[in-house]
Amino acid sequence: MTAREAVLRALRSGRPEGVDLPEGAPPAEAASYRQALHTDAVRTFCGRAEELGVRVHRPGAPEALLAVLTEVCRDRRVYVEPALGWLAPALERAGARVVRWEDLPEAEVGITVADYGLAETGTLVLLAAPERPRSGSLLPPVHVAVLPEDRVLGDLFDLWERVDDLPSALTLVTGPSRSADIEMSLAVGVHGPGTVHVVLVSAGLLEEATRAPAK
Amino acid sequence: MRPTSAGFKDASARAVHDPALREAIVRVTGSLGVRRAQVTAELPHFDALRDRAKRIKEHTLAHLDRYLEQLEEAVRSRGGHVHWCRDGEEAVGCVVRICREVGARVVAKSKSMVTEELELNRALVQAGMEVVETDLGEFVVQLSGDRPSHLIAPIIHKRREDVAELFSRHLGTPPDAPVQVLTAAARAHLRRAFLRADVGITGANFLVAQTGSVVLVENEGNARMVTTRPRVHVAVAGLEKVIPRLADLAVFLPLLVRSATGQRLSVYVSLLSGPRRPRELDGPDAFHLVLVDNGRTRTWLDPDLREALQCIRCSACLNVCPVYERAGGHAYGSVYSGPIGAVVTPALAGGRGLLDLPFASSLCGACRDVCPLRIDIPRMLVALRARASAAPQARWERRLARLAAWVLQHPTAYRWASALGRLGERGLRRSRWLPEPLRAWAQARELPRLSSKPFHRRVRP
Repeated sequence: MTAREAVLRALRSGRPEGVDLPEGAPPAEAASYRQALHTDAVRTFCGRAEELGVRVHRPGAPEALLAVLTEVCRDRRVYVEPALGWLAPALERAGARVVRWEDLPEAEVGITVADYGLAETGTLVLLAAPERPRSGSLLPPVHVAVLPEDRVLGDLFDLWERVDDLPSALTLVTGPSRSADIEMSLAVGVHGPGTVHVVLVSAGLLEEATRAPAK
Repeated sequence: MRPTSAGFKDASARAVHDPALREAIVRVTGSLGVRRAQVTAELPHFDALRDRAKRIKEHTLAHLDRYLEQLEEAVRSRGGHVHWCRDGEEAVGCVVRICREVGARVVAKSKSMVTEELELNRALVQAGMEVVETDLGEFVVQLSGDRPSHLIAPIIHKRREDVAELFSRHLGTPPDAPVQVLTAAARAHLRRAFLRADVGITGANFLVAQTGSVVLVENEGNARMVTTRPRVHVAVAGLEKVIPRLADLAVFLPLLVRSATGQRLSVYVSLLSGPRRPRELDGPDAFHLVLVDNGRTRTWLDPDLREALQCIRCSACLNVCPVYERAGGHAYGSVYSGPIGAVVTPALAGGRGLLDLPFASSLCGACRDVCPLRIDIPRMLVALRARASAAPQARWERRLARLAAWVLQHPTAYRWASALGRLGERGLRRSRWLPEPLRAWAQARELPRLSSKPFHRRVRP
């Protein structure tokens, strides 16, 4: 008998009284709390993220977006994930040294898209894809995430309604990397980035910016 | 899982007389407890989430065979491999074999209690591999040849000075380095390990049957590293970790994180579903899920102890336990310490040895009140005590209990016994004259004086 058969046989030998699986929707008791989350999700997101030490930027125009990124990236080695490849020329012109994928371990800044934001916890949701490698938001000590405002959801219940076909890796990022293992004193940037910037953009702005650097 | 010491009593005796250890434990458990209370009070539906989680666990455990098969199918359909292991030996052998097959020389691990339970590191080292623990606390544990003493704060028993001294020997940091410098040194050292490692080994906080995902909850980023950079990812998980659906994570993640560290969400939560896909630039080429029984189906078949399998290892029960606070985690002689450890350890071991662990509790019930799954730990401790007192070693206890029962049923005997007690109590106060084990018993207690006129004679003269 294989281990698989042995385990399954044991589990079938004494089925206990079971209860039905509860529905997956949020519990009724959460209704007013969740409604408050949804009424001003973007502002709640910003507040919760800033509490954790995340620096939130809200540029209103393509020039402002570039100015924010330039401020963070000037004179630094920067990895830009392929999904945002159009940013690279503008960043180079602004004085950043854009590095190739192979040199990612030496990058000082990683710029990525964030697919969703969660207001309740100030969380970024990152979905892995060919043009969205996992390491871009992980290896460099500074992570810059570009998040479209209309992608800010309330909480995890909202997220699972939108994402059910999972990529190879879905990562929730809530603030900078930290540890309190030594005497409970907070140390940031343990293995992941110690500095996290979120650049919140309107959907229109992102589109405009995509075209702008081509000029 | 080998218990380290003869028993809880001896091991805790040392800890009780170590004020520095006590202070360190109180600092950590106290601040975790305060933060837990704050962030759980923030959710008006926290109790509704607890009830929901309890029902999901009851349902899942009742149909565990079905969910494990669904999980296996989902992992396979995403290109992963599933290995079933009856006991520690099979599980360790399985992981060693996977590592050998891919020619692994360096193995990077993120924090995992089940691999501690299996003592996996020893076997990997014996097989000639270099094993690197990458969680900061576990790295310290490994460097100092120690054991973790708390489920989520493994070096709760160490002071900053201990870590500074350790790092100055191994990593060349100044002997009085502050925490941020120590952390930076560990980061630089472990970064090289991540980039060199052939295999990354993790545990799993949850396994999602619907999608075949391994869910990892952490703050440092080391679990992300070991599942992103090495060629192979091996996740080792107990059978009980499976939950049915993605949507259930919206229930379990807030319960786990808010109860464990008092954060709203931990810094990183990774849902890993199979190896990397075509054209992806990183992620492992191969993914293995090692499902470990090692006493879990036996626990599952035991109606008294089955509830222990609902535990999500948040450690909230450790942080409120007066016994854990005084005895420290090492006294439990197992990787699972605190109230839930006093149940899980003997349950997984099938009742062999460890007879005194269930007595390491005042049965105050704080653990049950704080448990996000409302696990009735005191009930299980009492059940385990009943078994322990039925064991042959407890012969004298049983005789004493029978004698007491007889005395209480016979008024004359009772009057004689209380008269004797008034004489005897004087002896107990002069404890240094007493023979063992009465002496140790009397030394640690201050008895209230027996009244010269018993209660029943006052009400009915």
